[in-house]
Amino acid sequence: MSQDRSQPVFDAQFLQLLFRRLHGVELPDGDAAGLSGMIEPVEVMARRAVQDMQFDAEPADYQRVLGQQRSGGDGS
Amino acid sequence: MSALTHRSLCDIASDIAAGHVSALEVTRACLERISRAQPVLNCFISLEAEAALDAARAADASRARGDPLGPLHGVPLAHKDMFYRAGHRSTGGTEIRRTFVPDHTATVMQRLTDAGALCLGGLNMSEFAVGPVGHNIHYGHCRNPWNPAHAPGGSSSGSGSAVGGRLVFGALGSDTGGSVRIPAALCGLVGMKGTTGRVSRYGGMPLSWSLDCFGPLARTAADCARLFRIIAGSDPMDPTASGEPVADYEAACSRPLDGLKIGLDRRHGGLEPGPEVAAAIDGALAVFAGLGVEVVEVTMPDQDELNALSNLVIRSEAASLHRKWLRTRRDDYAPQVRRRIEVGLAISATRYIEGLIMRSTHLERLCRNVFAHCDALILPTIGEPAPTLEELDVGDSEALPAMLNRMTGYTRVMNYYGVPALTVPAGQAKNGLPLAFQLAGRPFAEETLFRLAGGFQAATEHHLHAPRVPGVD
Repeated sequence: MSQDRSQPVFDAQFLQLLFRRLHGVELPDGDAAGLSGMIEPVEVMARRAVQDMQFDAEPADYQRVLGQQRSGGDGS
Repeated sequence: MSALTHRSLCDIASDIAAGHVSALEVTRACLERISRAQPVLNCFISLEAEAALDAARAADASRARGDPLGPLHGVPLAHKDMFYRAGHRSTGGTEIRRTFVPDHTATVMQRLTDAGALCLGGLNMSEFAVGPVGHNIHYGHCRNPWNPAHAPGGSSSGSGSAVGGRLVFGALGSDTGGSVRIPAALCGLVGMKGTTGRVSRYGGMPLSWSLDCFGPLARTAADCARLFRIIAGSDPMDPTASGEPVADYEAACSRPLDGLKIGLDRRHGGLEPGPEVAAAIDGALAVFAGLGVEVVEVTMPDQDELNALSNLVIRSEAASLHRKWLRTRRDDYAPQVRRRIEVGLAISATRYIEGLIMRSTHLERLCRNVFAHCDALILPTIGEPAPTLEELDVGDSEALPAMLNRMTGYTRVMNYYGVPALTVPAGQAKNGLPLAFQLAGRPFAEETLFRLAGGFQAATEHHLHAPRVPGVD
């Protein structure tokens, strides 16, 4: 069953559980609500931004592209 | 007003080298100005006056002996309080590191020292280099020398304020999402964020190792270029530092511009600047056109998705660095800083890696769609002159994301791409505060950016205007 994308992933309750279980951090209610408001839009946008990611891509490709695309000198 | 403190870095270095003025006289002039400006601007976290005077005397003695002189011999600088010097406190603008004394020296600091520069102390900054405004609840807010009610920009707030306020001749900052370029823009300075890996990050406090860049803020393109050439280049202590040759950026500042092309996206990636910055960019383009530069229309990718990807990377890496202190010293963070770092604990490993993987795709697209058609892209650094510190003081409220987008919308993406970007002063707003534009280029095109900035400054006087600091001038 696919996830209902209209529901927020990072609601305050989930964040409090995640922080407690994974990181040992007790998140006050106010902080959890604020964090939810910050991360949810990033998550939604990021999900869209990575849709055309290639299967065989990897982070190290960045260094290769940085070298390939480098300037050939002043004004070139 | 001291004429000495208002000289450019290159001019004062020439004057000291020629014996027209001593390093001691220059250092005393800076310290005297700092003593009057510090209560107004709060630029310094640590001032090392006696050590600086001793170093200035040593510089003068060295010159008198006929020793070879470096390009910054006897020139007073100061730097964001996050570049380590063995035995010197380095707070990072934090309560947590209030007494931290590193046992090693950052490569950039060593290179400046080797070039003869003096260091007057550690400059104010946003806590842990998190924050584009200049707020700091631990050491007091830093203020804009053009109007102390307004933000100097961050996170290298003290660097912008001290150099803009004519307290020192140049300063280093760090830039993970705009933290060199934003204070440069708001304080009327030139500020360079180089290509990812162009400058060693060894010995500097990290925020996000994928996106952190260290760079200089100075009053002219040539000043900034001199500092950048000194700190750039490979470093055995930082394997991520690039071995690409380092150009003579200062010489590039005086090269003619004819034949170069500047790209303009009238939509600026979907972020419309305010009317004064838009007019400043139009004015700059007219100047460039008069210098033989061709302006071509290009289309930048929309910035929203790129900002989201950049957020994934910054926040994941920052959260991993801070995880221990978020558990044990949670209350020692300012609420806004904690919020911005802590959010990274909720980002999954797969999302983070996707954010890293997509960098190469987006950099290729940028080069194909933009830099295949031009030598540099012009865009705002920030879409308005410096807002007041008060209006940006949103804490960790719901207004925080909008404030961050307002301040970093044009800068953060350049760190994600990893391309060089340079802030250049472009005039003054109706309220007297500085305006600026940003030039970005393909990887390792710093020389071209300095060439454009140098040509622009040779034809304009925006960079020559100095603020009148209340209580000082």
